[in-house]
Amino acid sequence: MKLINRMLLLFAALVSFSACEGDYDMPDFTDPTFTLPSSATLTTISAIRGYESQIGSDGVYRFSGTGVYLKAVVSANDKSGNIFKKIYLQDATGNIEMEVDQSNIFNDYPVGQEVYLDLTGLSLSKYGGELQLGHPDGYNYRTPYIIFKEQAHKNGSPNEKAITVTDVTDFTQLKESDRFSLVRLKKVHFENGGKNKFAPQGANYTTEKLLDSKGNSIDVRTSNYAKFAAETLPAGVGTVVAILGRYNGAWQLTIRSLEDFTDFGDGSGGSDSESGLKFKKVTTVTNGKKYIIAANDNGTYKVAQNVAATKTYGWLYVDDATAKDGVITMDDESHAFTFVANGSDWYIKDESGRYMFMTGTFNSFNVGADATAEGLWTVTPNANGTMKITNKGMSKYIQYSTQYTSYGSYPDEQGIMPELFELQDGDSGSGDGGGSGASGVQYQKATSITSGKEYIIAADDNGTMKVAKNIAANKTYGYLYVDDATDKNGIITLEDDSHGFIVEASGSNYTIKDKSGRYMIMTGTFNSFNLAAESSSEAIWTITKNDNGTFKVMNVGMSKYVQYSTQFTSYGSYADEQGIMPFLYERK
Amino acid sequence: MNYRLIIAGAILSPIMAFAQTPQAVTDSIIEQDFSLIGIVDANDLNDVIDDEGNPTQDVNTTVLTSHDVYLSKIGYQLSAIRFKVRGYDNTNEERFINGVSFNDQLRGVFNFSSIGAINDLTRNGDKTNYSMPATFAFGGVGGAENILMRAGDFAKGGKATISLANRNYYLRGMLSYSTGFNKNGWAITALVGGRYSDEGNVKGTFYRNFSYAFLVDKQWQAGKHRLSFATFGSPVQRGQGGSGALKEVYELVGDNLYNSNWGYQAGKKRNAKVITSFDPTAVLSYEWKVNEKTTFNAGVGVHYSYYAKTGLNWYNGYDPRPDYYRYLPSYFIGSGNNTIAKIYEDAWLNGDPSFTQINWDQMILANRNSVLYGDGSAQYLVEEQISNLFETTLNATLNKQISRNNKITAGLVARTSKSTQYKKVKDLLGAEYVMDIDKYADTDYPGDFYQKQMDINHPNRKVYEGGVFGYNFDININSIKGFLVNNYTTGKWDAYYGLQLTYTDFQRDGKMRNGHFPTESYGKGRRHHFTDVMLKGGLTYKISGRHLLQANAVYGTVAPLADRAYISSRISDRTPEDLESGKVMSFDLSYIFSTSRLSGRVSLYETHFGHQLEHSIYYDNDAATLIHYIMTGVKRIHRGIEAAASYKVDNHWTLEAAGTVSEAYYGNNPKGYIFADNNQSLNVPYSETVYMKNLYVGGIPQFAGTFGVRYFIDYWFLGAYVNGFGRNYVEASPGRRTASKYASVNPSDAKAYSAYQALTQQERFDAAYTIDLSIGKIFYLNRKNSINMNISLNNILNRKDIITGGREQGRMDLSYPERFGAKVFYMQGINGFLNVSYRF
Repeated sequence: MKLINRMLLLFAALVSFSACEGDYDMPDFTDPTFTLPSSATLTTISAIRGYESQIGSDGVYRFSGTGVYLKAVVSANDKSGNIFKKIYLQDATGNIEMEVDQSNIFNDYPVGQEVYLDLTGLSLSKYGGELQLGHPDGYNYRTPYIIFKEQAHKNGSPNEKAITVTDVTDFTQLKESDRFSLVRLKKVHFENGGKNKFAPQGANYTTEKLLDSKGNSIDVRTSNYAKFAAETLPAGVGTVVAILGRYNGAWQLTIRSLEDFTDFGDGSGGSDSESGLKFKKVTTVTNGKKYIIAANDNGTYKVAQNVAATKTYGWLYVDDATAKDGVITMDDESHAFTFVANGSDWYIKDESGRYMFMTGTFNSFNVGADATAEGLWTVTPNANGTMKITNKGMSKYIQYSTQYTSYGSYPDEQGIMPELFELQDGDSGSGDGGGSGASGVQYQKATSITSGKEYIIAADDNGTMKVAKNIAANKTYGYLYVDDATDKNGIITLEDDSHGFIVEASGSNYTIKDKSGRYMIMTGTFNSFNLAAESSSEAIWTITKNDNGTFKVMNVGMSKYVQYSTQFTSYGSYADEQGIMPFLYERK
Repeated sequence: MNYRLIIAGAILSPIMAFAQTPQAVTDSIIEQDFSLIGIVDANDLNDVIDDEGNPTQDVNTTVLTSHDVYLSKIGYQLSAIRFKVRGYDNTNEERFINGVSFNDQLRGVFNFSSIGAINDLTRNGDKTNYSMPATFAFGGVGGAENILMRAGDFAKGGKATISLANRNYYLRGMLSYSTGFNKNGWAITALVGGRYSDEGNVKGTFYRNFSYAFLVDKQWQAGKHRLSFATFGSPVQRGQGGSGALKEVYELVGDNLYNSNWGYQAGKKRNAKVITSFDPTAVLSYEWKVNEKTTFNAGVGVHYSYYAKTGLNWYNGYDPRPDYYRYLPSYFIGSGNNTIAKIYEDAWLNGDPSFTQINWDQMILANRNSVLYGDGSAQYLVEEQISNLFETTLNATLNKQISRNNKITAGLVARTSKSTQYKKVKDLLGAEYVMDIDKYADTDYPGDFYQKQMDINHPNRKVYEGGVFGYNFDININSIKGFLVNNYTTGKWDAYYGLQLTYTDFQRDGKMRNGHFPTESYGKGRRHHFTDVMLKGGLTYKISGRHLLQANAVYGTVAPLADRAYISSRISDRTPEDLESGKVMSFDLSYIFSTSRLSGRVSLYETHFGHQLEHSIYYDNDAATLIHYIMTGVKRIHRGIEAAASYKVDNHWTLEAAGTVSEAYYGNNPKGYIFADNNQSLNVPYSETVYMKNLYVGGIPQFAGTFGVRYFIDYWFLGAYVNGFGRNYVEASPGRRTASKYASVNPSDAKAYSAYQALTQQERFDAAYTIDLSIGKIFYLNRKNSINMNISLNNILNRKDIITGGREQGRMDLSYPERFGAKVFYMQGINGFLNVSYRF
């Protein structure tokens, strides 16, 4: 009996022994403080810069003695990946760059962190004509991280407001003392804004020109490791905060993160410039009209994108925009959806003419060439001005999910209901059915090609001319979508010249540029077009006339030629005959 | 008392006794009771997995003591050097419990942890060596064991055992009681036990385990029918020891048992690799003695193996592993910077754990900064990788004595298993969430939204604590096999032959649509099926009753294991195009002798494994991405001589020796498939020849032996053993043995050529020897009760510099050939075990 009791006790003890791994305490979160030892002295960045003349033939000046500290604030670090193994320090007298041999230092030293840097054993060196702090024995004078951590004493909590940022509107006004400081450049724009990326793959670093309102330019240098490397340079004019550096006497800018751009239009979203397409908020839908779907997420409108041309299903990702007086202005129609009536229901078509439908158990959208029962939607306004767009077959309705930052279609309320904004006719860049005879730009059917002239590409699809559009300003590749037009006695009249392509001779062949000066190229295995700022072997085309008057516009490198695909209602470039060959019309 | 006994029996309190009578102990040849030393416990080393998820050596241990002199000596004495009999992979040993097969279908091995601290009940059973025929199984080349845990086999009584050790746990206890068969044919046995340490001999480890077992037996018609039920489990949570480190690191830290997996968090030790494992099992078996010539056995076994292992993961933070190659002096010496190398060397020698071990506080502060000044996403987190297996096995065997000389064994086994594998966020270390994306994708597919998604069905998903992320898939495995063995005995000859047919199929079922492989990750994948045949036969010539000559042969195919068949099972359904069953062909010849004083065996063996799959994962410097490497069509040859003898000098002294001179090496240059998670050019797997021919199979001492002296007097058992081993090679990495890696080497360039030689040379570890001592004593308190005490001291010379094994890194750099050296393991210094058990 006693034995059994003992055994039950032992059992209980053993069970408790194997209780789960204990909870761990959090370390102390009080901010570290550092008091300067009484025997120590403080120095400044400008005093440190004074040692420049003492840099020896071995490339360094070693700080002598011990007990000398620099009190400074971290003004920039490697958080965005654009800065590598460096940290920028600032005090009242100036700014300086310091080399540190560790990546992702930002986790330990956030921007705004005050440090007391013990200069014992550290050094001053020069790179590209500019001074840097570091360690005399480190690779590229980078301070070994264990030494940096030991000697860069943190004091207090990071305070971004403690950093001084100099305002600059004219690059010629930049001074020596601005070196390695944070500058706020106002009313600036990128030379290739909206076209090029910050740092496309291939090169380690990419340089782009940033211009001020007077036309002065500075190089912006971006590493292809930056988180925003694959983003397109913002179009338009705005303000950017950046680190001003110098290399071999020339100014250069290093961007810290995309958050440092303000007041720019972001490529395709709403901009407050006068140009652009206006979409006005509505609560009823009209047959054949174009709409954007935008949900108000705490003041910012999330405008739904079309599903990418290469995909047949997906969520609708978004771009940000702002609404002014119920109007959202977009750069182009690429976010628009056309609502086509079917009795009291609607089909929703995207810009490439594909129907949006729902199938299976997915909360995402499918797109297809045909109108089917799965593509029928009902549109009902809600009391608060948002719209309930419900797929009839699935009984799921379109909402913006903040969790997934995209639109899906759900059976219950789990996101933000969208609003519909209708494209206002007066501003559309090209209308359906072509322009009137009197005004507008006229193009004449061509029988030969002249270098330097502007042409439109138009294929005859059962009497309707499908005129190729340029690829959107913020895209670097794609198919050429179309607008409809009519040929009257060999002349097509369009509202403006935005559909034009400039053809220039290149030897016995040609290059083709769009209206923004980008070269049409072909690369990879794609049947779509790419755009490049420079000409290359990929940008060479032959243009030969076919017997029936159409042209074979063939890319030399890929041996693929331009055709209009009725299936995809766009132009692609294919290795074999699978679409309609286009005519070329020359601008009169 | 009866009433309480029943209740207590239901809550696992009875105790059991060993089926040994006092009479047997007068003979010194009786084995020291190895039950006390915990052979099974060495198994806890068997899931040491390196940083990239490759399992390193499994320890080959036996549960039942073999009667074969060679196997019984070698198995225990050389377990510290991770010796494997004939160099065979663990998957070649089959283990059964009460006649039901328990090698899991996914990895093909027996989970020793399922019977951890249940040792007192796993002493009985049948064991066959190598490919000899058995009554309960067809058996593979590595032998088969049937552990009998049946309540009725244990005599009435109880046993309490307490053990102290200085290994990965310090304290072990077991308490068991058996009723034996009562007059109504019922028997109950129950056991409760546990193992514990708050910190094992390796720093930063801990061990918490409790075990239970409950057995019920019912027989009727005087034993003609017998139904046995057993349920047991041994849930454990333990902190992992070192996963192998560079020799340089061990030297800097001054501790050959350095464990890089732990560090301090707010002043308390925390291990990043914590394993939680529990494998509750239930077996119902039925035995029917149809008549004196025929026995029929059937059983069904069910178990749910839960296995979870935590580990660190990081996103935009610097590598938190303290022994990352860039934090070592060798990195700086390699680039010619001796001054900085010295600074790092001093930091290591200083021993500040915030530098030499994981710095948890720094990771938490980094996450806190992300919450305060960033988007709240985790730079560092602890994730938990889970691999569960639900398995059901049905076994039926028939043993029939057809005539005086002729016996047949036939069997049928049907099995179904579902492996569920996924990982979840265990501890966000103060951050708010983590995004379910591939952290390496940005470098290779910048701006590509889809390539970095771990699940396109739920892109850019924020994952919180406890959430599943990264990968999630099942593998369903089914098999059915039938076998027939015929044994023929005459006065001079014994012969047997047998045939086994197996059908296996498995299929992956992905729950996430991975961005790199969107069309081949989500949903049910390709169904793979294999039909295999195995033949075996053998002959024994009885020179006399004491001298035998024996020859055995095996030939057949074995289906590939689902665990190895997928190139990257977490993210894709892809398998190598030439996935096929492996082949095995084995032959051995033995001379076995057993006189009144001298017994033993000398054997010659040769086994060829063909069409094998080998899998490894490593980070490739050149491609800057994680690489999955699968070798197919691998051929391995294992051959050698085994010899053992036990000589009873007189009633007190016994001398024993066992040893092997062998070689296990790769017999061909297999095809290797390289498959990268990222890196567009490698995303389509391509294959290359891997030059493995004549490299040795790593981690197995090819020459090994033990010599022991035992002395018995007045119930004292004293023993001293010398164990020696040599020709132990590092596990070669296939990634270092492809032509493409050295395409840039010009043989007339001395530096490049010597780098090539250094990188392809297979390191051999030094030969060594150790000395073990053991002392045991049995006290008989009265006719029934006894106390058995045993102390064993291993490696009494306290040699801490013996390398037991290691693995070459796949990662390499031609310009700095010494940079990514092999990660090795050292043997523990002097270690001991004290056991006291009381039988009542």
